[in-house]
Amino acid sequence: MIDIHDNILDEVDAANLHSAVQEISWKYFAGSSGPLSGNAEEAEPVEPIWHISPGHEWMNFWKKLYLKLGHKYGDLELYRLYLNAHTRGMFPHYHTDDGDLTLLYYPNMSWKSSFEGGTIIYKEATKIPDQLVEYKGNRLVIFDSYLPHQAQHVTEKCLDLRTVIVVKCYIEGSNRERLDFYNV
Amino acid sequence: MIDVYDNVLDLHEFKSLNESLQTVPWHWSSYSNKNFPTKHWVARCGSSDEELTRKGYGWILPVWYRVFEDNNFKEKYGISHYSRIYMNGHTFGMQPHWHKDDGDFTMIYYPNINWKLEWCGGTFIYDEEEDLTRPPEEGSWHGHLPKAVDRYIEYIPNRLVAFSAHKWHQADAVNRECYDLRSIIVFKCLSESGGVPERLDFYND
Repeated sequence: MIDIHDNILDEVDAANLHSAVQEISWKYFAGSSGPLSGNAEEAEPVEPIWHISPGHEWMNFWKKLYLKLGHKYGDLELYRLYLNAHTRGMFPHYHTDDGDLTLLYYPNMSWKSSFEGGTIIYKEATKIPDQLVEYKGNRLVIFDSYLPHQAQHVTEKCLDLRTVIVVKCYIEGSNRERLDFYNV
Repeated sequence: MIDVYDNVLDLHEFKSLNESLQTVPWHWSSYSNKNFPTKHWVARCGSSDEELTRKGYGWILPVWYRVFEDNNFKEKYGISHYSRIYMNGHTFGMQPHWHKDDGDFTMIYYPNINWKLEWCGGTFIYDEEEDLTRPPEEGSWHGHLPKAVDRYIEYIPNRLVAFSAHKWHQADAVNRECYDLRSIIVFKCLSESGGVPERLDFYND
């Protein structure tokens, strides 16, 4: 399941979030890699990314998303919210997530499509791209956490910071079958 | 005037500093030269010991006091203290631009203990010449542009380079083998006498 929600937040909320992300302090962090199978021999080199786990004030962002999504994906339980970022010359890695659903929100309202920097989502347990979700401000993409994915690099002409807000959720009482049910 | 000081901290202090270096919160907001669009990472540490300590950068102070006292900077450069400390950072793919600094002296400390010489990432310091074909750039640069590299300072961990702030300089890009953050600590200093270039040359004698 891969769902895209454009203009998920109200215009004012999206603008405020854009500004808030511009003010964030980041840590240089090795966090985006890991072998799909768990076999260390298949592990790719870790390339660092910029990362931050923000404070409780960001719960408002989750509450707004939660209200917008309603019960479309079941009873979502937030268990982790953080931000990642990368610049020109950085190539985030292919990986899967823990949890049931991954929500990626693109906060940069001035991002140009020519910068690329979207998200490549692959078919389950493969390196076959299923969908490229382009970076567009105020866009939310939701997908099953077991799907491999990778932040797309940004182009040579991009001098901006590619930022994303990552929300990881459990679905209460879920299992793979239940998730597939929602995917119908 | 370009002076290089190696092994500023002893090994224990240097390792300790590198642990603190991992905690630095970086902002994506700074231009090395406002006439060019490229940004880099910055951490603004403060203008006094009290401010640095309050903001969690007290671990930088041993660098300053060690190099200042061991090398008699007060007599050598005519400075009594730093006026501002900040950190700059960039990774592969980022191209910092040449620029001049405010103040009289710029002192750059290379803190990354893991840095390898082959990653490049040093500092170019340039000679300049008057460019009569261009209008003066903003600030006090008056149409003088870099002519040739006067000196290249390699990124050697635990090294500090001191030079006249009026000299054009530029952080070197890092190569593809480097996955680390090229970070530096910058000490901006004012001369007690005003620090005009002629005077700086006097101190260089």
